Parts: sequence; structure tokens; C-alpha cells
Amino acid sequence: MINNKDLVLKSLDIISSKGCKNARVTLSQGKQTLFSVRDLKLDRLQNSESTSLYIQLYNNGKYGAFSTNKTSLIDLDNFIDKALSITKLINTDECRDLPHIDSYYKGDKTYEDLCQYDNSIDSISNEEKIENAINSCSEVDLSNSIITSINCDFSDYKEYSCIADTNGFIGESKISNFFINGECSIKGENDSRPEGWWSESSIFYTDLKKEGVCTKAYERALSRLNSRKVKSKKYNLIIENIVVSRLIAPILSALNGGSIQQNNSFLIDSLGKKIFSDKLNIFDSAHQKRRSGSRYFDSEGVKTTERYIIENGIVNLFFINSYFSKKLNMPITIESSSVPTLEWKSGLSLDLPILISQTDEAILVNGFNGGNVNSTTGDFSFGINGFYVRNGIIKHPINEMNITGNIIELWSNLEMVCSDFRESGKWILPSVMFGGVNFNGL
Amino acid sequence: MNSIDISYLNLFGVSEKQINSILKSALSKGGDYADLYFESSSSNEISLRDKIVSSAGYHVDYGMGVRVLKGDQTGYAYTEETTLENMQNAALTASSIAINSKTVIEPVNINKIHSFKKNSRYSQIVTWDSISVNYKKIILSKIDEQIFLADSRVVKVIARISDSESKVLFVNSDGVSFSDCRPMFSIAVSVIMKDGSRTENASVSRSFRGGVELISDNLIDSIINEVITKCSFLFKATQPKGGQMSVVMGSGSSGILLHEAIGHAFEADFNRINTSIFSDKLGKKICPDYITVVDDPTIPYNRGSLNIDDEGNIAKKTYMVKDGILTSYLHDKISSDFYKTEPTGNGRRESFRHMPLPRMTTTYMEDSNCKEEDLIKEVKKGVYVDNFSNGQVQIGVGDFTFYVKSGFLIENGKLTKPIKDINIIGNGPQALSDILGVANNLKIDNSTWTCGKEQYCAVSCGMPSILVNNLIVGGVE
Repeated sequence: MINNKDLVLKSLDIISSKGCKNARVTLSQGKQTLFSVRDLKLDRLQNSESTSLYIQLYNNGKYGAFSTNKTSLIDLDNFIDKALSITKLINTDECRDLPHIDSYYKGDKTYEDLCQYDNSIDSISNEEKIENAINSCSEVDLSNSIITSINCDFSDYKEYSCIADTNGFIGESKISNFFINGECSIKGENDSRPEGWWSESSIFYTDLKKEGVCTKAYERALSRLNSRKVKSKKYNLIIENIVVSRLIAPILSALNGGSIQQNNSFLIDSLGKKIFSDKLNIFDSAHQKRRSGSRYFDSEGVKTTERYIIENGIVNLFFINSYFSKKLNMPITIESSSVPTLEWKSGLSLDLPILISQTDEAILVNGFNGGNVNSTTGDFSFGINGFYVRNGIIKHPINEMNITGNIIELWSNLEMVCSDFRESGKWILPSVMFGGVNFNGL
Repeated sequence: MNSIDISYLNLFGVSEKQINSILKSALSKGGDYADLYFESSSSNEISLRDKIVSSAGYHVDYGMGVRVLKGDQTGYAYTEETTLENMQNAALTASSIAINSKTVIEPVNINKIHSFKKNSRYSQIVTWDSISVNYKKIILSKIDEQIFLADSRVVKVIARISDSESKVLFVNSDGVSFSDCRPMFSIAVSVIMKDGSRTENASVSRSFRGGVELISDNLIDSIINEVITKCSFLFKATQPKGGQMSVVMGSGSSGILLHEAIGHAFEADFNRINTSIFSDKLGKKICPDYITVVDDPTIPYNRGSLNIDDEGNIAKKTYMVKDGILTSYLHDKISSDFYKTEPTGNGRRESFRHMPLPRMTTTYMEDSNCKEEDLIKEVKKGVYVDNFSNGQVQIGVGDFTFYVKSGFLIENGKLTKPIKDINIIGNGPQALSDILGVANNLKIDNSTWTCGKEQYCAVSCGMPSILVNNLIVGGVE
């Protein structure tokens, strides 16, 4: 069997030899281990190793996308034959083509290592991984009768990927990730079992915050005791940093070229226009070191750029890949964001406790429960849980409530952006506050 | 002598002797039980956008997983190459869940073999790999043309046909084996319509386990009519004023309520570890007498149907709630051993990459004796909902939600203003006891429902119309 880059190049050779002039081949090879400890006992161990070869054919405007994990040369040859025979039957779409070579990442000596891979990943023993999970569970006193279950997962993941196409682009990358997740279930009122969770992740093992995960999960479960609904009306909405992504994601999705081209976006015709609050600044920190998601090129080989997606409420960027570039007659930008960063431009240091202490009345949301967004209109409705805040103090937990409105209107009413972003995770998001949001409860 | 279907052994390049040897390795460190799950899947999709059938795909996924149980502990590993060496390595990795155990047992020789060549719940007359891409292109073009003809406000159509076939071979250390061929297809259509300055979107899908013969003109016409009707409706609709109110859920896709509010909380893994709000309720009355809820994988060609689960237990109809009493959880092997009860045939997995978990198949509520119009008449102020996109539940506290794409206000017993884009939230045990009436119009919904509990599994749901009190309905002032 051929490995890694050679397999990708061999695949391109086979494709070319069979008459297809334009193609891209992407190889992903991943390995994951997971150890799950429940109530101090090893509950599950899992070991996974996966290979996926993804082939995109652009045969004179006829396009097909194919994948297989059977990568022996005989299997590959047969697979490519089948892929080509299917592609021949597809209708011609002139917009289907590889990107223009000017848009590719070409590499440069000035490009520094983005620090996406921990070379020590294979040296960490299974015993140490299990011990990490057990130690985290041990933070919580299991003899406490209120606890029904405490669970901790430790997992690690590494992936090599290689992208090459017939324009001559070749890009390789390696990433690693370590995760520790705690979940705690406790006895609540009326047979309920409130749960709390907490997780930490990092690219480098030494950066992983292993301590305090299950303690936080337990504290978050405890904080949900005696939850109740409050009256339906408009409240200020404070969102804890760990769940802000739920309200940013619809904006990023609406900026996608596919959504724009299909008229399935509430941000059509918004490029260059002020749509949101002056306080909304979303930057793509694509080259931030030691941050998951950082990259020099996307899945088409197109180079990434650090830039504002939204600046002072003005839409600065649509995510346009090669296909939608031709469909929309717009230049290629990038297929998607890399490391979306919600910036606080005030320069003031502000975290969640301070924000709460300065708030007269609000609902602090620290979890979502279902809901959705109408991609065409931006209308949304989400289930939430969190806390009722009055006179700068958290009064009691709330549950079984919805927030409802429109994404554009919501982000136009952005009042405060904190500086308390988390160090782990792909998105850099601090806690935020909005004014006048519809809450539906009693 | 019992023998495994030779075509499946050949497909995976293994012999019964090798299988026995892998099982031995899996149990070599003291595991109580082991199983091997071989799977070879292929899938196709083809899609139309901007009036061009401009994309097609073909995907192959192949491998085998080894699971070892020691009590309620699980070791799992898989390989994508079924060489004896790789399979033995996977078996040894999974076996380490039982490390330090002193007693080693031997796998039992295969003595019970299930095959479904003659009695499958999803036998195919015309298989998907026997038809050409051109056949699918004709269907997609017809859908596109008819939608544009039907309404001048249509500006975009995306239509897609996907099909797959998964061949599975299973053997466990208790001597049970099965082979099964599992087809699936779905047709999904999205439209964008513009009316003046307003733009709306709607999507409709149908999915079945079965062959090409299940595609008919009626099926295609129903998709076209439904997607246009749904999208047109949205131009008249607005987000209502929210709050706590009565909700009449129309028949069919309202089954999402059962899936989220009840089904997940009845999956026995959550109850076994005492984290479900229904953990202490088995055998107890949890809702009115007129409510009976089943999980039923036996419906021919249904998306949620199975011949056998992924642990070698025949998939069968299970009454979770009968006449208002919680009669059974949904079990996998670990939970049925824990509760010392018969397996219910609900041990399912997404693929060979995943260990089985208790999962729903097709979940529905049986009919009672009310009429839908009488349920609506009961409501002074509330909403009627019958078009949903997604749902979720918090198992421990029982809070469930589902997102309503469209419906109506109910004012003084009558459907009045069209509404859309609201989330509805309630609490499972409370909502069950607040079901004030169940109609006699059960309908199974054949949309492409997929459940995402740790892994993705195809499911289906159904419901007669019901009236529920005191749910929290999303809305604006």
C-alpha cells in the first residue's frame, strides 16, 4: 500500500491517465483514542484509525465528488473508473472548475509554523490518559448523596491531510487535539436530574487545562437546582462566552456564497453595507498560532487572509469559493472562516461577573436547548436555560423558556462585548449583552 | 451444520475459522462477551441546482469493528482493512477493557444464524446499483420543471436523490450470527420563492428502505405539491406573540414530540446510569389511559425499519407506554443484561466505526378516539402546528424542544392567522400528563429523519393529532 502524499499523487496520475484533465485529490488520515470514566471506573475505551480519499473530478465542466477508504491500487483503479463513468453522465456546468492559480497558497519563507501539531501525541500512554479522566472525576466527592453520576472523557486526535490538484497545488497539514470533558448529573426536585458539563481542549498536551473540569461540571449542575420560568417580556440578554457561537453561526452561514447565490440568505446585497451595531466586529484570525482552525489554505488550496468579516457593523466579506465565484461573478475570497473572532474594541477589561454586577435586569443564558433560524429571513427561536439577573445579582436559575426574534435585529441591539474569550476552541468569542430581546415563558 | 452466507464471508475476505480466532483474541484478557461487525457500504447522490444536474457522487466505506464487554464496560476498536493481522490487532485493543481479569472464556461455536434473503422488511425488486445516472437525472429534471411551472414566484430549486446499500455481517461470542443487506434512499427538494420584497424557503423530503420500485409518480407529485404549499404558506405567516398556551399538534411529523420528549428518555442507557428523568418510573402510570406509545421497526420499507438490530437481536415492536403505563425501556445488550430482561432489538450503530447504543427506530403514538377538529374546538387561545424541522431534549430534567416551521393560531376553537418560525419548549413528564386528547388519524411521517445521539441513525416517527396544555411557545411582542 502507498502512503500519504504518494497516494494522493498516484491517484492524480491515474485520473490524468484516464483522460480527465482537471481534478483534486484530498487524503485524510486520522487517529483517535477515547477513554471514558464513569463514577471512577473505566466505562469505555475506543480506538479509531481512519483513512479517507476524496476525489473531485472537473471533466470539461462535468463535476463529481467521490470518496473511498479502500486505497489499494487495484481498488483505487476500479474506483476511479467508476467515478469517471458517473461524471461523464452529468450535465455540463461551466462554473465547475479548479480555482485560478493566482488564488492558491504558494508558501513562503515568511510563513511561520502555525503550531497545529503536538509531536508528543504518540508518547502519551493510555494509562496516563485514563489517569487524567479519573483524576478529574476525583475532584467531585462521589459520596455526596446528591450526585447520581459523574463522567469524564479524555480523548486525543491527530490527522494528516494532503490536498493536490492538476493545477500543481500541493498542500499538507497535520493537526492534533486533546480534549477533556466532564458531565455531572445530580438529584433535583420532582425526579429531575439536572446536568452540568464542562470541557477543555488544546492542540498541545501541555496546554490542556486538566484540573477543574469535573468541578465546574458539578457546579454547573448544582446551579440548575430549583429552576423556574419567568414572565414573558423583553429582557436584556447576556450570553456566556461558551455559547455565543450559537448566535454567530447564523451570520457566518448567511455570508456563505452558496446561500447568497441561492437567494437563501438574510444577508443578500449586504456587502459593504452597515447592517449591524457599530459594536459588532468579527475578525478572521486565520493565522493565529496554537489555535485550532488556523490555516494557510482552505480545502481548495486558496490562501487564507487575516481580515475583518464584519467591521463596525459593516459586512466586509462573503465566503466565495471557486464555484460560486463563477456563479456570482465575484472574486474568490475563501470558502469559510478559519478562526472567527468577536472583537471587543473598547479596550476595557470586562468579564461576565463584572457585566452582571453592572446590569439592572437581564437574563443570563448559559445553555441552548434546540431551536433554529430561518436562513432566508433571519427569524429565529431558541430554547434556553440560564439565570434571572436583578440589581446586579443572579437571583435564580430559569429553564423551559424561548428567545425569539430576528438575527439582524438582535445583533443591531448589541450593547456590550466583554474581553473574556476562552483560550481553547476554534472560535474566539467573549460574553456579550443585547438589549430588548423577546423571552417567552409564563 | 450451520454456516454463514458464503457471499458475505467472501465480501469481507474472512473464514469462519478466522472469525473464531478473532473472537478468541477479543476475549483473551477476560472479557465476558465479544462481537464482530463487518460492514461494506456504498452510496450515491446526484443533485440539480439552477436547472442543471451538475453534481454526482459515489462513496465507499468498508471495515469491521470489534466490541468487548466486561460487565457494563465496553472496549471498541475497528479497522478499515480486513486482514487477519489488522482484525487481531483491533480485537486485542478492544480486549484491554478487561485487563487484569483472571478468567478467560472461549467463544461459542456459531449455532444461530439469521438471514433475511427471503423475509426481509426491505427486499428490493430493482436495486439501486442496477439503474443508470440518467434515470435519476430524468426524475430531478421533472421535479425542477414542475415546480417552476406550478408557481411563478419560484426563483431557485435544489433537488437531490441519494441512495445507499449497506451489507452487514455480524458474529458474537455467544454463537449468534446474521447477515443483512440494508438499502436506503431519499429524495430531498428545496425551493426559494420571492413575493415582492419577501423571500422564503421550504424543504421537503421522503426516505425509504427499499428499491427503485418505490419511486412512483404519486411520490414525486406529493413532494412537489408539498414543497410549494409549504413555501407559499410562509408569505402569509408571521411569528406570533409567545407565551404559555395550548398546542394542537397535527398528525404525522408531530411524532418529533414523542422522539424528543419521550423516546430518548426511555432509552435504557440513560436509565441504567440513573440520569433520565424516567429512571424510577418503570411500571408506573406516567400519562392518561388513552396514550400508547410504541417503537416499531417492523413497518415494511420504512426508513426506521430493521430486520435485526446491530447486536443480533430480531427487531420487534416494543410498547414503551401502554394505556398510560411505562411498560418498557428500549434496550441494548448492556442494559437488557442490567435489567435482566429480554433485548428489545434496539442496539443500533451508525457504522462499523461505532459501538451500539439503545436507539429508537420508528416511534409513534397509537390512535385514540377523538377527532382533530374537536381537539381544535377545545382551545380558546393556542397554536396548531404540523410542520417541523428539528428537536432536542435534555434527558435529566426532561425539557424538550421542537422547531415549528409553520402552523396556525387557534382563537376560540378556530384556526386563524398563519404562524411560522417558532420554537416550542416543554417538560417531558409534565407534557405527557398534559395531553388532553388524542385523535384517530395516526400518520407515519416519511421524511428523512436522522437522530444524532452520539452517532447518526436513520429513524422515523408518527402521530395522531393531539392536544397538549401549557407548552411554552416562542414569539414576539
